[in-house]
Amino acid sequence: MKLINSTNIDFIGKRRIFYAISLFLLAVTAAAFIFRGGPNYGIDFTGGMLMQISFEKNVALQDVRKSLEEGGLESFELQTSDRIVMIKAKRNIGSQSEFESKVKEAISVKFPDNAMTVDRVEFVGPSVGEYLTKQALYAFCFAFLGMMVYIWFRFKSALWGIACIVGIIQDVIVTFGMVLLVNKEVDITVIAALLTVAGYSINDKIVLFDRMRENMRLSVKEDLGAMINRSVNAILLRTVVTTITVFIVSGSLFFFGGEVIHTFAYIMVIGTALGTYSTIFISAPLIYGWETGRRNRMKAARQQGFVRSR
Amino acid sequence: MGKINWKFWITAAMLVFSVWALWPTIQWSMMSDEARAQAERDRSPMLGRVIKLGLDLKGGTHLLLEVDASKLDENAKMRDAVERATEIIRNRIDQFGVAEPMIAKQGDRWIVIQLPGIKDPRAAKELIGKTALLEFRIVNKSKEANQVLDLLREKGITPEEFRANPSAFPEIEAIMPEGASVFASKEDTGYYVLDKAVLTGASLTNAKVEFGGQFGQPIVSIEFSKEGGRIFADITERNIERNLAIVLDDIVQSAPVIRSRIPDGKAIIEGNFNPEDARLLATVLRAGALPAPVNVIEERTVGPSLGDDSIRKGFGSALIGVILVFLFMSVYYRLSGLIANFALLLNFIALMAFMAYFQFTLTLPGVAGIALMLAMAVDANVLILERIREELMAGKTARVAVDAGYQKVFWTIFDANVTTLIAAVFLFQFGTGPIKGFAVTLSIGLCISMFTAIAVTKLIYEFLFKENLLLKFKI
Repeated sequence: MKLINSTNIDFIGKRRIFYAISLFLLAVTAAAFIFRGGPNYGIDFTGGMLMQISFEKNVALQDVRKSLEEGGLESFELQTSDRIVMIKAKRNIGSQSEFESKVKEAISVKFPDNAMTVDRVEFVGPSVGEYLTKQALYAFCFAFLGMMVYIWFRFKSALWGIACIVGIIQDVIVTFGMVLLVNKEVDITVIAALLTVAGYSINDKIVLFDRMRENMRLSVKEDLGAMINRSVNAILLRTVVTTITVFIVSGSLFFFGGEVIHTFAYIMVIGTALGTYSTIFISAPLIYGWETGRRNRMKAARQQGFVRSR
Repeated sequence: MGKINWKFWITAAMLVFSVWALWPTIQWSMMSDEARAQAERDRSPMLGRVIKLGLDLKGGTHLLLEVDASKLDENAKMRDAVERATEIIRNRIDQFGVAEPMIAKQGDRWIVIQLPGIKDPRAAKELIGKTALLEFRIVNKSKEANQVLDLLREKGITPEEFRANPSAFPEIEAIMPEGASVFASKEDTGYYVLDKAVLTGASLTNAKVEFGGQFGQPIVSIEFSKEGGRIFADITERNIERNLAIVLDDIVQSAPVIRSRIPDGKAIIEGNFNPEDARLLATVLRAGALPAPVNVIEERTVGPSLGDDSIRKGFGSALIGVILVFLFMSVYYRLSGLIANFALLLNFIALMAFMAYFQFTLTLPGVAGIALMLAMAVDANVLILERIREELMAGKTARVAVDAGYQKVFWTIFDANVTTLIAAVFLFQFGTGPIKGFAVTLSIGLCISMFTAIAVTKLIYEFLFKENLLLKFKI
């Protein structure tokens, strides 16, 4: 069975269109950033407290809110679904045990005949929030650097490494923008998912780069643009099939995985699509543009006699 | 064919190892709840071989503690203090009785604690956080001491306020007897001026709860070490008819009058305890005092019911995803798809075996990591198969095309996996608990997939060719 027949699409010739699409995506990201007033950081980064409580019987959001306000709590966020209530307070919450007992007391006063159990408690002190933020930034910087150096070493070209990282950074930024757009909270899971997107994206780029390297060796004289187009077309079927399998898994995690995995899967779905996109439409054309520019400069220099050809 | 041989033996060894490593986990999953609880009580050796579940799946509490540097003795080193605090907390938790706790130093001044399956994190936190600085001080009843107490009462200054910053109250500091300080009492009967500590909890060898006193209320009886007992005898001899205050965490528990020399190195602490308090205090005294107070700066507690729910949804969704991929592969690639599926299955089993054998923790993000790893392992087979298809279209025979396909994409798969591993390694390095679990399953899985997706599938093709079972190759 074969999903698509051999193709012969001119990807390089249309690269300006795809650059424009990328710019548009980045603009959407910037707009989302401005529109949302910056990322909605979770307590992992701001510090704060989260309590998830399940009741025996259903409760109404406004009743819980009122009870907590009467209990002397201020500036908290509430989410409910049927019997489950999630209370979240960011930044200055004072003492953790005080907050916990205040919540428990306020609720047991208001709902005396509705037994509750605390399913989840998360408390993150401000120093931990700072620490986690720093760790997340380090993780990205070092991962990018490590990948770039590896590609540089394997493909013996810093240029390819940079083209690859530019594509990945675009994927990560735009995916992050899509997180902002739907106003999902940015916590440690989001960071992990973004790193995974980076991991998938580089996987995809390596496959193409490898084919390009092989084709370059086989036919040295071939025009660079034609060579890249041939490589992309040759692996297009593989790209489609792999994307389908990753989509199947992420999609199943997205729909059936429950709340914790939900955000993760959302990011994976968008990220893998973007990763594939940026391989073909960003990284490969960038190599084309830069290599051609370099060759032209070399040629010009040679013609003017600055570089003696051997 | 020698080439088939080594691949075959490695595959066989891997299968045998996997079944052996996973056997306890399989047994465990078929046990009833009661049998599991019994095994946990007996600390059955089997527990050490069952796949370890993270707190997010099992339920439990994760705590991050910070050692308060400001309260540390000036000449004590921070590193030593954190190490000692870690040891002491481990002692306390062992006495408290938690199955498989994890206690470790993290960074310069942090201690991370994981307590799987505990029902009441509050009691645990209290136990861990108690400084339990026990001191014995002689009550100072000099004229100056009385003046100090009068001044405190007049100006409404509490002992804590004074101790926190003595120089803010120069008139009191001026008359304070040397080495002495003021303390509040547990009974609320006023303040005490106490001389320098003559003995501390460090000289204890034992502490236990007894029921004594007039109304049979709980008391904590303590026993000093040989050296401590001698000092205690000496002090009691020299201070007959004076009061000896027993101070716990800067609060006077009791201040009995010394009637006679106490030679046997035994004493009791009375303080209107309820039995639970007394038990906690005795435990903490036995385990030793913390060198400095610790503060909880991070807590993540997951109740057991939520953990069960996460397991069901997490595994369920991953399973659905993987089954769909299996279906897709066998429909799309037919026989080759089935071979790839077999490799995937082996990959999964070997991964779980490694997790069990090395006791890595499986977390909820870890489950997502497995699903994702399998999707990426499929990519290796997709690459190979599409390449074989190309070679076939170029007019090669099945056997040559298969060999060429494997050979040409090997380095692609290698590079792709190494770069993904780079991301996973940093994820592990900088991530916390559950995220680490994701990085672990992803990286181990990718390493195994290098073997299963390439060597095992190749082995099967070679076998089929050798037996002439595969004459035409259709994808």
